[in-house]
Amino acid sequence: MLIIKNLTKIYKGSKKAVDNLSLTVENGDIFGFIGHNGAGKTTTIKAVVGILDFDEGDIEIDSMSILQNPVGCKQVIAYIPDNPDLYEHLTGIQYLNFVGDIFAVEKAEREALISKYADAFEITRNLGDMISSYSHGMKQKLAVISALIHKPRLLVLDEPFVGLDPKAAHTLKTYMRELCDSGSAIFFSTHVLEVAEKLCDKVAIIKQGRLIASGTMEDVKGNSSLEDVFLELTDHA
Amino acid sequence: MHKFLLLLKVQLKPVLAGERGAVNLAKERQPGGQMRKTLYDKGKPAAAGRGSRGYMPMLVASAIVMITLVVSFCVPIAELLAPLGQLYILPAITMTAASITVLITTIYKTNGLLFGFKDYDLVMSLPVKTSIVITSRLFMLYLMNFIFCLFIMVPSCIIYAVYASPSAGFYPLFILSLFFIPLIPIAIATAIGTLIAYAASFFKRKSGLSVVFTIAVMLVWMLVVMNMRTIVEKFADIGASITSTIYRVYPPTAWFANAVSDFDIPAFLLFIGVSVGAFVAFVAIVAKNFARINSAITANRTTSNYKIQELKQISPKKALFKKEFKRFTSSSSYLLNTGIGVILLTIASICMLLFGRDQVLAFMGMPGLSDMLANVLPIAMAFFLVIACTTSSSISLEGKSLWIIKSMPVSSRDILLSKLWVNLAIIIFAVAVNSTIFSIVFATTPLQVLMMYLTPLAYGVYVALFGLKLNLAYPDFSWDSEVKVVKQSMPTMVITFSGMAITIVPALLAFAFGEVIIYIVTAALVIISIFLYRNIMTKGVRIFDHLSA
Repeated sequence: MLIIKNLTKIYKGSKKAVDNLSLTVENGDIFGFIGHNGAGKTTTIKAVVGILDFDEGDIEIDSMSILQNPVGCKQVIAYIPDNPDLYEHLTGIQYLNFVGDIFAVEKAEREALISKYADAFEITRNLGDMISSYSHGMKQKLAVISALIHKPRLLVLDEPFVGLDPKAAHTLKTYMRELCDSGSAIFFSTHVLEVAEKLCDKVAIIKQGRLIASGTMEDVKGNSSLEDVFLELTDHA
Repeated sequence: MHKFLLLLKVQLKPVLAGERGAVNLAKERQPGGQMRKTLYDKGKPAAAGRGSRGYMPMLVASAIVMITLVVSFCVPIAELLAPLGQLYILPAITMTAASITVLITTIYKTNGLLFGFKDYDLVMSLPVKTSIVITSRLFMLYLMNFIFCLFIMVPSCIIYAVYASPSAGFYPLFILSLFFIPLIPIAIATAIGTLIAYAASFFKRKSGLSVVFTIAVMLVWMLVVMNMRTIVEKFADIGASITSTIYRVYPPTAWFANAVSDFDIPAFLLFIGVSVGAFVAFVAIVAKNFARINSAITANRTTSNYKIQELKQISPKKALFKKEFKRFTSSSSYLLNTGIGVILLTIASICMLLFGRDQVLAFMGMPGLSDMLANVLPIAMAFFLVIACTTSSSISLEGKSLWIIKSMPVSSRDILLSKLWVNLAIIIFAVAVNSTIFSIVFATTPLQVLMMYLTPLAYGVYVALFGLKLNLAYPDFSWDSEVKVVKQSMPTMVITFSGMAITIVPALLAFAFGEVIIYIVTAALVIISIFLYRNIMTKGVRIFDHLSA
């Protein structure tokens, strides 16, 4: 579903933020992407979803190149950033409807999915309010719902559990698993290693823009905990 | 005192830093925590920061406009009053003008500067007394208003001094009084501003109230400016009665006028005592209720009773347009700053339809100009359409939400077109309504009627495209207040000043050489617009592809 080939991103006047990074996310995978602050996770994620250009390499999504066919790639992606800056001048339902229109989600299906996810995240009653009145967590929930209503083949999330209450975090994990069981793939960054260890099938560790470990969870962590492996690799690699 | 100065410094920094955008540009923080220059990737234009230039250009422009108005108002009045021995009226009138200016400009600063400011939580969590926080905020308000007072009072003082040749005692009293003039108006304006903000907080869409209020103030202001000559001419007859009314309504004016023109020390002390007393009392009341007032104003009124209803489905292109149009209508500063020309033009043309052109022109201080105006009417209309446009800030307004449209399956071309179409929709509405009314009211020839539609439309299309081109070249996603990109950004200023130039110059040429100038300008704008459109749809699309917040 997602193939990152030799991705390199250099910010002008800076060293390489991402350095020759390659990885593959298969259909059905929940792929965790972990690393220190500033390791290059967000840069990689932004390049994958087509909102940041890069200097070398290519990214294939559902066999389409993000460079050659960005609109085609984005049609199958949903992205949730680490900080959900949404359109504050819209109400929650207006925003969801806007996303539904852009992704051409059929009316009946849209209504059913919004109802399902908004109820699950306990936000239905607030959908008529302006987004500017939402708390950080409510915005995060709205961003999650907007990502799920168009049934993405690839869901890309940057620190998705930050700001969510424990119940919403649990609900999100349930839907992430449900989405992958239906054949989609998930690529997400997190600092919560316990969550990554429990949730992910595969994991990649990035340090200073370079991939230092990648594979199935069992391959990467062996008999240790993911936390131990992460600390060992990032401290000594 | 140290904490007060620190708080004041934080507020003053963006005002004094004329190149605020440039500073941020050089030091934008990356996800990795590294400092870097912003987005000059692959030779592409900067994506952030270049649009804003702080408050200095606005301050200079305000100074020029205000001083020009004060001089053009005070000199003829002084000429009239000097022979009548009524020059004492002049300080009273200018002091009233300064007080009203402070009042009007402060009302809307209250919510945002004194209450509901962005870093309220941070500032209030600091180990600083609430009274120091309030004093620093009010001092900032005072400083801004003191500068406005200087722009009005100093030129009027010079004019008064030239005509009245007052005694030496006038000058120290006048200079000392200057520092106290803004105090009472600030207190009154802050109270009114607080009430308006509190009332607005009950509405889900707060922009409506602010739009109506601002348009009303603007119309009154425009009528005063347009009728200045009539006011001045009649001042000799009604000056004394106006002044006595002002004295009754706002007694500090009388104390001030008596103090400076008659060297009346008790009146001077009364003026200062009441100004300071009222201000201190106001600060004490605010200090006691600061947190409570702030919570009441900033509280978001939510209904939280939504039930899933039937939703309408539209195409992606229509959805983009709808979202852009909502952006335009939901923000009072965006709507007013980019749509004010169309609003005023439409009000004027509807008035002409209802009351007749001659009456409206006379009301606007332009009697007997209707025949002359008919010749340049297409350009006169265009003036209102090109002094501002939505596209010069529509890309910047995406701000930190830019990721949404950038990650959606829509082409950059469609995104840019949606922004263009919002501006064009406003232009088409303005032309359809106003050109029709003006064609009826001015009963022109068929060719003139045609140009009444074509010329404003050509100007409107051109300015929409030029605004978009400028915003693509100078986007700013790092703003913390919409006003910075809507009002103070480089693209917006270029649009305003170039808009004036491309309408005033051809209008003057049309007076001299006839309507042929209008045909030439219209044709030239159509050709330029074709080039601009092609440029935006090729190079502009590539620039947009590389933008990131």
